[in-house]
Amino acid sequence: MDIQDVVSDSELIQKYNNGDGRAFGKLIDRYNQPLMSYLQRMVSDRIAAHDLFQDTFFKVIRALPRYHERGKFSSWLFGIAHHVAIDFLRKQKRARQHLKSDCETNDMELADYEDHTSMRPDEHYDQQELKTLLKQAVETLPVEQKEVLLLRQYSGMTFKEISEQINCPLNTVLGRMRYALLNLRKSLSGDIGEFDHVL
Amino acid sequence: MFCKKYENNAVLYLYDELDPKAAKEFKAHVHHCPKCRRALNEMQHTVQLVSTLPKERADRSAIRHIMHHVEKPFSITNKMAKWRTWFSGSRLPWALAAAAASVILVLSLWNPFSVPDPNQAYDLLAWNSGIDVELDHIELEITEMYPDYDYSTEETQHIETRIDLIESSMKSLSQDIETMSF
Repeated sequence: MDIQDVVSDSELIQKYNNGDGRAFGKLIDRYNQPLMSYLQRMVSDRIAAHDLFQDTFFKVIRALPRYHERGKFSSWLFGIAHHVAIDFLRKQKRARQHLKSDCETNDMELADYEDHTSMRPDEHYDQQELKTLLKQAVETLPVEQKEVLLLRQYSGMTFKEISEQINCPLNTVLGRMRYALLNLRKSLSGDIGEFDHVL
Repeated sequence: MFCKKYENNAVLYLYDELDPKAAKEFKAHVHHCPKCRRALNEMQHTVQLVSTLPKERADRSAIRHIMHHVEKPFSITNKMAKWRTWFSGSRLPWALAAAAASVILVLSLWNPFSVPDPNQAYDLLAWNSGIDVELDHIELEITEMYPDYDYSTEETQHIETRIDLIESSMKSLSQDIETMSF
């Protein structure tokens, strides 16, 4: 049995606070994949995602005194990652829509996507091509919709927890998620029928 | 598109976050509403697609960089743990050696006005040399006991600097004794 499955996040944090640096290493290993996946999909840049991955954990180390185990560690971790990613995107000005500092409900709309597929309808796509198109479709989502979709996909947070972490009403979060799924479908609409056999 | 009343419930339902009573009502509605049934199927299909997004991992170099900044035996926040661990593990011999050398230095300076007896000076010189050798032995033992220990941390270097200062003071004292006596 893997020790990481036995020791809880709280126990690892306690071990770290008592002087066991390796416990923090176990935390990093545990959240390596979901956190890196979230950051890379958010910023669409692997090198930048690596920097943000490190920045997130540096902030975790500095903020551990204020953590006090309020809520799940994973929610807290992804809350920090969310702010790190959003700050990066604001600086990089990569968002398609203007990033709003408060949660306005009129930021949800169906984007007008061009049909990106250049494949004939009768061609079959393999799983790798599907993943590539899906990645591109996610990357072109409006930032507010993308962040909710990716937080739900990778962090394990419920929609209620996401709404608390990003400081948005639950209905706004659910609306963004709904529009994210609709926009993805619209973006892949020329291809979706071709992918039925790979699911 | 869903009926307005059920749009957000559809998302919660697909991610299994809808409470049982609302889920039952939603399922009953979908059963009778072709528009919502179609929209739910499409949304479910898209959710399945999203679950196939590729998974990424940070490189080992990034993790090593983070671990380099992790304070190993210390926690900034836990001052008690900091003091407790400062005297545990490999720091104890260093601390004891530094404390012993400090006591010896103070005792050797206890009566600065007395003229050192040459024989006593020789004894002091030998004694200081012995302590110096002893510190070297302790340093070697610690290095052998903890070969993987990171001696480049700020704390370890600080302790080593202090021990170096004590050794330097002892050497200086030895020279003074030698000068006064001979």
